[in-house]
Amino acid sequence: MLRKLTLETISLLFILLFVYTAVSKFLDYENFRVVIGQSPLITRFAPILAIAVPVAEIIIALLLVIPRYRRAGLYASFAMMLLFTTYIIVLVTLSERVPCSCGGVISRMTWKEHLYFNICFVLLALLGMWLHTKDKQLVHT
Amino acid sequence: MLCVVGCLALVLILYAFADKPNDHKNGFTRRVPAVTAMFQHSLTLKYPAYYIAGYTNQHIYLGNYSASLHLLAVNQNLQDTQELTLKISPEERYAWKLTRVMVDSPAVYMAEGNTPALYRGKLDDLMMDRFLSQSCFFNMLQNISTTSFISRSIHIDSLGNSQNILAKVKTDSPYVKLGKSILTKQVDGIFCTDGTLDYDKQTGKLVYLYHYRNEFVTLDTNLQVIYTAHTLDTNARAKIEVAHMSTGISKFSAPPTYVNSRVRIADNRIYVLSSLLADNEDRKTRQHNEIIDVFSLDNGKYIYTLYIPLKGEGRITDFIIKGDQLFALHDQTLNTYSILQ
Repeated sequence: MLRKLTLETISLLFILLFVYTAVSKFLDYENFRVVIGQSPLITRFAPILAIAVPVAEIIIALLLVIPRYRRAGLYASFAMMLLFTTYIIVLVTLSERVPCSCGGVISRMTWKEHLYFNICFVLLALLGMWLHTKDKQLVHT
Repeated sequence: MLCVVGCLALVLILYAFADKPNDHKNGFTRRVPAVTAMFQHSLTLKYPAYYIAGYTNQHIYLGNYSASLHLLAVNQNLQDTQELTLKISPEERYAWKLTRVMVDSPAVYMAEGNTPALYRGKLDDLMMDRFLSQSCFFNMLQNISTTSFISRSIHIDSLGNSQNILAKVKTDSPYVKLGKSILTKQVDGIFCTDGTLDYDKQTGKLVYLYHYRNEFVTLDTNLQVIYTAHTLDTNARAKIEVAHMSTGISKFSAPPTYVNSRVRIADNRIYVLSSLLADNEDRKTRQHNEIIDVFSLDNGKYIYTLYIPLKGEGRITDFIIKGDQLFALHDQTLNTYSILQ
């Protein structure tokens, strides 16, 4: 029961996070598209990423909502958060002036806060994946 | 596991494709060996976000971006600090986040260019009174005498194009005189003309140094150009991309190539804090030092290069030169160096 509840909470947290950031990116799309280009890592891919990132976030949120695809959703969330985390680490070491375009209140975080926040979510996704596998095993036995 | 490897690989691919500053050759050389400044004293300040507001024979004055009325006086060997508060009538309305304090002993000025609001007081009582109400909007201000200032303002021409220009603001008529065609437009007129300004009391000359191109302009106090000269690097045109948004705001849409960050004039020399590495410098040079190129104020010719060793407190945000001493501000740390050659 507790396992189920934890899993639900983790999924809900990810859904909230991804929907919130994706929507705030779309609402402020014009700005997002410009600011994302300021990052030296992704200048060349900015026009594609400006659409791909929020769309991917929505898709992951949908995967998490549908029970059949939850496992895929959790894996995708883990991958996404890991991607963001490595990106932050590389960006901070690479460039003297770092812009941020994460969306909504999340943009207000400092780089340290960002890093801790992301690591928390990476761990949450790991926990979710583990719980989900356990769940499946129980059903099968 | 596959996930982890995939993510790391993706970021590494992005990293491989990224334009890294100072990674490729910048195409210029500096005079070697450079002179290395000698570290003297260090003072950790109580708050972050300080800037240099001015200096007298005995003191350096620091203003603070997040506390418009706060002023910190520090003596030359950084032993003695004194917190001061400017006094202003409570009815006064101004955008405190945009105000800058300028100390030009015995006067102290406080300026905010969006209202615009200008205040003047004396260092010994700090009572600030409204001053020069016939001013214009500005985004940078430098006092050149007790009755006149040089401002950088945005000028909009008849076609609706906006551009930064320098102007002289005085207490008597004609209150504002525009110095057209001093700052030259290359890309958008605003970002591409951005830079820093310093005034030398001794010679009455001003230098405006562009941030994104290898150029500075030396002027007299009547906004007459004495000469235009170049910093060492090869960025003759600003490498910036600007996007104009429907809200009327413009933003960079790619990382700008930042060339020069700060100019200061002292003893007939121009000190330019540079962001770029020369081809004959080691890649680690800028990790451990701040690089200042020194030019002659008479003709803008390059003389030598000065290295300011960093002590792990981050990059220099502002600096001044006073005799053979250099005061370097690193946001929350103030260091002094001896630059005796």
